[in-house]
Amino acid sequence: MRQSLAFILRIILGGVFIVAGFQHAVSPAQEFAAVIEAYSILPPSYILLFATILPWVELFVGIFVAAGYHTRFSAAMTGLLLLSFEAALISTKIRGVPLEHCGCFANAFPLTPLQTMALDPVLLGLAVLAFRHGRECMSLDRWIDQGR
Amino acid sequence: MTVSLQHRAIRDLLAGAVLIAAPTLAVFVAKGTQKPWIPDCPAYRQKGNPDAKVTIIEFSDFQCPDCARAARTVKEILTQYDPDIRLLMKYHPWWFHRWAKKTAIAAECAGKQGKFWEFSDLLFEKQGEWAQSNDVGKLMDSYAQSVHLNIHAHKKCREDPAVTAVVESDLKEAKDHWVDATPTFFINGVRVTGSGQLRREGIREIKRILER
Repeated sequence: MRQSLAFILRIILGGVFIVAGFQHAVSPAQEFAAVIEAYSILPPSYILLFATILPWVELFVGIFVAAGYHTRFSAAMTGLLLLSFEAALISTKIRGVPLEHCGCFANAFPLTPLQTMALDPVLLGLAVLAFRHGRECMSLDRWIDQGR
Repeated sequence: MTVSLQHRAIRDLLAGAVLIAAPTLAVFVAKGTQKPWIPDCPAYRQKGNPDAKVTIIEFSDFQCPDCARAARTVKEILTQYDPDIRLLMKYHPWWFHRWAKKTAIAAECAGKQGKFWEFSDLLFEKQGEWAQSNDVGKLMDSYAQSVHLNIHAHKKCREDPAVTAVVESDLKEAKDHWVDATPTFFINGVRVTGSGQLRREGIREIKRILER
């Protein structure tokens, strides 16, 4: 039962990253760059490069978590990403940077910064669960380790 | 033992390769579905020299704050690079902006009376006012009056399904070309998104074209 729940939660966490990464990866990088620019954190010259790389990181990390591939590492990566997203949102609040939407899922699901700030800790909890128990049920890690 | 480790490594590599290849392929397949495009719009939504070396196509939403900021930059660009520049304006009202579609329709109706630019300038200028309003129709009437439109014709036009279809056709055009953010500009085909990019990369691109 616990294993099945861990599996379902791992799929949810991976799914969120897959949707976010896919939405950004298929959209032109300039659009995600405009979202990142609105946060006023990175220098403009690095934004386009960051906007090109980050969606692929989200996508692959999401797929690795969902599939249970190098689960502890990929779950730790999702945790780090979530912490950095949360920090970025908090910093915009502190600095009074006006953000209409967080831009997390492109414009498919326009979440407000506050909604995202509430969602991220929940996902962070899922990342911790995936880190601790993600390998236990229907994971590629188990299939890879079968020959041991 | 060694054989077992080898098998494990092979399974690891195989799984990694599939997990990387499958989404990469999916993204490129999804990206590859863009359709050929000959952008155009009615003359009243065009500004500048029709034979200009630089054509900017703008997808804008009257309720988007960054579109209002970009509108000021666009004006400066049109003045500074006249007569080498031409602007085509297209609608991209977001579903999550309450009055975006209604204002796009109102602007289109102002265009039919030859006052598109006056009306759209006013919409951007007064964005903070009408975006918060509960009765945008009344405000549209008052804006129409202030740019000297025929109010009766404007009101009637705003209810015409054909005008809504024009706005929706721009939205479809945007969707076909992966325009999923506003404001989006195509400067001789080169995409620039947001007022910040327009000020930096956009102006750089215009200069590059004009120096050729």
